[in-house]
Amino acid sequence: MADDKDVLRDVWFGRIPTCFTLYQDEITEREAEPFYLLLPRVSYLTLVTDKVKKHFLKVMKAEDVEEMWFDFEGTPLKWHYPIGLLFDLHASNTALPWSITVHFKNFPERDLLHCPSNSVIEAHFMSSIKEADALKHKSQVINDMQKKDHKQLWMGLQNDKFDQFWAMNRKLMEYPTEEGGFRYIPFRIYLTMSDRPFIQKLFRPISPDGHTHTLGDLLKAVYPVAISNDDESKRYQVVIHGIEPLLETPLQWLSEHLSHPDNFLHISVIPAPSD
Amino acid sequence: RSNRDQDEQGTRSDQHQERTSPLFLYDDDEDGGSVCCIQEGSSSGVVLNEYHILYSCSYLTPVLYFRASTLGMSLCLEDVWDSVHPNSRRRLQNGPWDIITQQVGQSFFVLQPCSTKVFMKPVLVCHYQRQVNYIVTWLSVVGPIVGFDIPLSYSPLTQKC
Repeated sequence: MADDKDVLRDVWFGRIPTCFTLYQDEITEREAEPFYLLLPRVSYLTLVTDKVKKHFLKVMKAEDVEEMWFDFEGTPLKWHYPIGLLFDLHASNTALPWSITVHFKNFPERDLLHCPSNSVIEAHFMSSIKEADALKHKSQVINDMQKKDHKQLWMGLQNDKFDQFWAMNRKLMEYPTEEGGFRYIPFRIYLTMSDRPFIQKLFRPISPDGHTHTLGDLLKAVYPVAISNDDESKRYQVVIHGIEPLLETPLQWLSEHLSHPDNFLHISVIPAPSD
Repeated sequence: RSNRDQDEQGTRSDQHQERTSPLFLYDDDEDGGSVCCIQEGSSSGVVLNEYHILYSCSYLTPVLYFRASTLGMSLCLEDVWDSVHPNSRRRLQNGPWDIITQQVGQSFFVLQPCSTKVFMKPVLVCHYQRQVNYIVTWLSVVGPIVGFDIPLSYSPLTQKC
């Protein structure tokens, strides 16, 4: 039986093999070869694609290059979503490698945030962590940390240093024993077939009468459509980090082990493939 | 003024936070919750600001969202930072992304709520001695940072619920 700590490592080191191809209308001096990269599920596109940019800049003139952005099958990819979430949401049941198109012009202002520097990614990452701790601990743990501790969380993610990150993050995963869990579970449920980008609500890991809430309990409460009845065929898949956890899994355990580094459980609800 | 102003009071009770809907730009209530004000822009002339007050269930505090445009075009984040009140400029420079960030899709800027609890704490302590209007007090602190000045005529309201 795998140790729970192994799960933390498996989540952190999850990778998605990706093929980056330059958009055909970009102006190049010669033909651009596709670029292959293993993307960390838990990181952000703009943080890990410097090599992609360098590769394509080799065949382009500086004046033809503006801010780099990506699309998958015509959908602009939001860099502020974790990479693994983007994959699960848009490309779960497609063949690997994940084929992403690279653009250097016509930035889609309505769909994407600009990302002029890593400070933007850091601020976004830290604001998610702060919001998660507001939910889990009324911000007590994050506020007790010093600025250098916050920096350590970010540097751990940026430099892919599991031990450095978790040395700090473990404090955000603690809770008073008598409580049995966090105050509220930080989660977001993403739907592909909806105008709403995600569902986020207040939800406790333990019910008032001491019953441990499961993933199934969460879905029944906030998005019952995701769960099919026994007699009908499954219409949706509920995916976290590329897997479908059993609905009986305790939510508190999921929050401690399958959260992203930003301390949120990012859950995708996608149509089940029709074989 | 938003109707929400009247019923959102800063409180720590569990019942209160369960009653309100989550902070959700894309959800229902975008009607009538806005105030517009006009300020002199530096280079581009007149800037039209639209402010919304929403409640954050994560932080259990109000959050100020705003849209800024000139001649019908949205301002970019850098322009918004430039228009921040001089008194708050230094704090902003230390970590601009910690203070004002952008939300995608609807060109809203948001004043980060993480420190709201901290500066509102002394106010809540006073609440036990005399009635305090949380929203007006809160807005008098955060509004001026982003060009929203509450007239002094509102100050008697800070003493009424």
